[in-house]
This record gives sequence, C-alpha cells and structure tokens, in this order.
Amino acid sequence: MTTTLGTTAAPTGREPLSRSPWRDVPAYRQIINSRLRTTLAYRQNVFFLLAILILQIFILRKVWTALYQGHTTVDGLTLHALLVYITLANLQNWVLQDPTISFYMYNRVREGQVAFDLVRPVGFVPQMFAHLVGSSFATVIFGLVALPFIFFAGTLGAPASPTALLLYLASFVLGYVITTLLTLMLGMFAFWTTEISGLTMLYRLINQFFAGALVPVSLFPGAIRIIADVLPFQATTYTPVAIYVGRVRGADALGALGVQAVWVVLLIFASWAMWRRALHRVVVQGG
Amino acid sequence: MPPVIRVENLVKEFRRPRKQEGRFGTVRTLVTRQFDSVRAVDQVSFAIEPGELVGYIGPNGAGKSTTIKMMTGILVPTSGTVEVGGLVPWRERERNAMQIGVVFGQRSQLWWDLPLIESFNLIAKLYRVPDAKYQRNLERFIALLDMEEFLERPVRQLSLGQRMRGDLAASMLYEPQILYLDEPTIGLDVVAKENMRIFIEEMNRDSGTTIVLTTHDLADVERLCRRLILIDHGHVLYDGGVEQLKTKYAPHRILVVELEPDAVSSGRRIDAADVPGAEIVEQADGVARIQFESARTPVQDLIAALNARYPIADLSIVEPDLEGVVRQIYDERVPVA
Repeated sequence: MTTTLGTTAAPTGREPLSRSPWRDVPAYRQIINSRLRTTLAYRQNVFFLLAILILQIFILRKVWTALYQGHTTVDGLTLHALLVYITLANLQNWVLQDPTISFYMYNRVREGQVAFDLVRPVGFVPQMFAHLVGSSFATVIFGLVALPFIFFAGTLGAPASPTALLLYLASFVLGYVITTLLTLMLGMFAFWTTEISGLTMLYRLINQFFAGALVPVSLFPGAIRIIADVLPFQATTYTPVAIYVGRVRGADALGALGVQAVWVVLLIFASWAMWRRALHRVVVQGG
Repeated sequence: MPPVIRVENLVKEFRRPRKQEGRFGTVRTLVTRQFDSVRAVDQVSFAIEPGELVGYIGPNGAGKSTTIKMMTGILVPTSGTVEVGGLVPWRERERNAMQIGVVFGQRSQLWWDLPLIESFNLIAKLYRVPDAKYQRNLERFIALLDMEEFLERPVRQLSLGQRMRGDLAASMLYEPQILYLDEPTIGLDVVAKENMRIFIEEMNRDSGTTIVLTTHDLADVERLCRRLILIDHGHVLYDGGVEQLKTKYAPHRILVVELEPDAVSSGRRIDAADVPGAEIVEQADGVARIQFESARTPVQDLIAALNARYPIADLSIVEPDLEGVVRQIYDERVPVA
C-alpha cells in the first residue's frame, strides 16, 4: 500500500470556524443509532423492568377501582378516565425515565473515559443528549411491545377530544425535554460523588410520586400539592396525561404548557451551570 | 519549521483536602476547608518539531500523564503555556480535538458493547471524515493491525492486544497530525508489543505524524525514539538524544572474559595490573567482568593486552541499556522533600 496520510494531515487543525448547527448531525445520528442498538442488546434486563411496570399498573388499577366504590366521579374524573390516566402515566413515565444514561455517565467519570469525551470535536453535553435520545428510542420500542400486556393489565382509552390529543403531543414533547434535562443533571452528579445508585433510587421514587404516576397531582392534599407544583416532575407526566384524559383543558391546558416551557428554560440554565462546574472540577482539579 | 508543540514553564498544581488527624479525623476532613497543594508538573518546558517521535518517560507519579492531559486540553494548567498546532488546547478544546489522536493504554475509547467496526464508524462521523478517506484509512489499518478477524466482535470480548490495536486505529482514523500515546504497550505480550511498535513507527515515518509516547517499557523508547524527555517529580531531568543520554550517564562498557578450562583448573586469575585503564568488577569461576570507559580505553587495546597474557576461551562486550541508564539516573537523583 502506498497511500500516505501526510499530505492531508497537516491542514486539519486549521479548519475554518464555520459552525453550522447541522454540522454534527451525522455524529448525533450515529450515537443515537449505536445507543439504540446497545440498549436492544440488553433486552433481558428490560423484560424484568417491563414486568414490574405491568404489575404496578395492574395493582394500581385494582386499588383505584376499590377506592372508587360508590362514586362515579372523583375530582372531575370518571373511574374510566382515571384508569386511563394511571395506565398512560405509568407507561409514559417508564418509557421516559431511563436511568441507563445516568449510569453510563457515572461509569465514564469513575473509570476516566470521560477524558475521551473531552477530546472529541463534539461537546460532552450534546454527546450525552444523543445517548439519551437513542436510549429513549429503545424504551419506546419496548413500550410498544408491552402495549398488548398493558392493555390487559390496565385500561387504555382514546383521548378526551382531538384538541386534547394535539395538546397532549405538544405537552409530551416538552415533558420529554424536561425529563431528559433532569436525567442529564442526575448523571452529572457523578462528577462530585463516587456513588450514585442510592441517589438514583431516591430520584426515581420522588419522581414517580411527584410526577403523579401513582396518584394524579390534582388529588394531592394541600402541602404536598404545593411541593408538587414547585417541582419539575409534574410537568413530565401529570401535565401531558391530565391533558390527554381531559382533566386539564382549554386555558388551563395552555397555561400548563406555559409552565412546562418555563421549566425547559430554567433547566437548560441549571444544567448548563452544573456542566460548567463539573467541567471545572475535571479540568482544574483533575477529577 | 516552527515547533508543533510548544510547552513553556508549565505548572500544574492539584489541591487535595488535608486529612485531619486524631478523633473524628475523617469527618473533620470532610468539613474543614484546608488543602494541600501538590505540584504534579513544575516549570516544564520543551518544544517538539513536526514529525518527531519523542519518548516522554518517568517513574510513576512523575507528572507524565498530567502533562499529556494538558497537551490534549483535558486539564487546564495552573500556569505556563501550552500551544499545539497554534492552538491553546484547553481554550479551543473542540478545534484541538480535530488535530490530535489520543491513546490511553489503561482506558479504551471504543464502544464496549458493540462490534469494533461500530466504534470506527462513530469516530468517522464525530470527526467528519469523508467516506472515501475513511474507507481508505480503515482498509489500511485493518491490514496493518491485522484486525479483519475481530472487526465484527463486540469490544468487550476482545483480548487486551486486540482492543489496543482497535484503540490505535481509532486514534488515527481521522488523520490527526499529532498522536499522544500514554502507555500504549502496557500489559501486552511480546508479539502484541511488536505489532504496536510497527504501527507507531509507520504512522511516524509514512504519515509524518508527530508522536509523543509515554511508557514504562524503555525498550519501546529504545526501539522507536531518537529523542527522549525524562521527567521526575514534575521536573525535566533530561531532554535530548537517546544515544547521548547513554554516553552521558553510562560511559562504561563491560568486557566479559572467559578463560580456558585448563587455566581455570590451575587457578589462574586475571591480575588488575594487566588491564590498565579498566577495573575488574567481578571475577569467579574463570569469568571476569571488566569495566572500562570506551572513550578513554579503546577496547582493542584491552583485548590485545589480555590476549597476550591469558588463554582466552570467550569474549563479549555488554553495552549499557536504557533501562540501566534510567535506573541509574533515578538512583542518583536528589530526593525532593
């Protein structure tokens, strides 16, 4: 072989600073694709997690049906609407709350591979975002596979109205962005602590409750309701699903979308600030 | 040509929380704000020309990896300058990334759960390598590093040698002009080591890649590098040619003389007076080890003198190896408090 690299090697460092935002799209697609396939390769573990999800939906259906005895509606929700809410909220929460990437980040920091992420021409945070998106694609696929079982374990139903469906989709996307930013921040804790599994469990528990996956947030009593309202979790699950079943509609729904948008902005700033500190920790103190 | 890597008065200090002694020491360590400053790299300066292959060596904790991390942009220096290809690495991390390749022997940049080829595809995309160029380099590296057989195998199933070959290829796929190799041969067997060396040599010779190599295996340096930078306790102890280092620190050769069996049985020994300008360091069972300085005492004079008086069965000259030279330098260094 006579090809040499020398002739083309020299100018690479002198690349013009044309930073089109689309420049790195092929890289993100490759990360998303690889992450999707990695997660699919580990499906056995996922089946256990899905079994837990299905069981949880089944138990919640039984509990809520028992609680409704003698009532047709509670807090403006019929039993059917509430069961649709519970089923969809748990499914959605399960699909979007994937801790894989937090652990991935934690392992890269602990084992020092984060050094490689820092010498890539693509930033660390966008790389991790691509991982999160890839991982979500995989969990969506798992969720779809589980759908028939969830249909039997819980209750699936149509959205309250066509408008509700549209608002739900918009709210779902915002909720997804919020969830992703929260997961990213959870993963970034790895730069400060040497153990995040306890933190992750605590996070999941708090998230599940305050997101309204067990009980709709609108049913929370006084003080807990206030806490739920100031936390971002309700914006990930309760808001879209309550819109879907018609518990939140019209002006309230638009207001809820506005709150979600505010959370997106706040969390972008928070995660950016957190990343600055994390980077400072690595590059100045050497991890 | 101006140097491609310029390091001037480079300093890196780490702050470590001071450990509190006595009762509840661990708890107090957590809450007090006292720090100890450790200088990992202290006033290091050197310049590397394009196309050089430099060995950067030193004992554990000497500051090698810290220097490499500053040159790659992973660490921000406490003070001093680093300039790589006209860029300040930590300030322009993403642009600098395009011009450097990095291999850390203890870590892998490959995607653990996916076939090796997937990692290559990802790197090609990350570094925006045009398809034709990528295919050409890939084919070249597959042949050079003999990777055909395990290209489709998940990285976690690869042997250390295979994984390291994958890591080397990954670091060169986008044709960086500078390659940092931090202990690339650690833990490898003889054959794998040799493959790595051939690859490094070829990247330097045929592609003109500037290479900085840190290693504990001085055979790597002896085989690959003309120049060596020796560092200890964050200071540069030596910067220059490998051969010059040997002459400077190890001017002595050893002449090993074995006498005829008859002479040995009759109890003959070489007399110190018969080897002018040399010193008998050891003599037993008819084998003498005679140390001399080749610059002052020509070896042929020594051999002629011995041949004239003793029945000699065998002769050999032991050259100093880099390992011994470096060990000697470490032994002689003044301990830094």
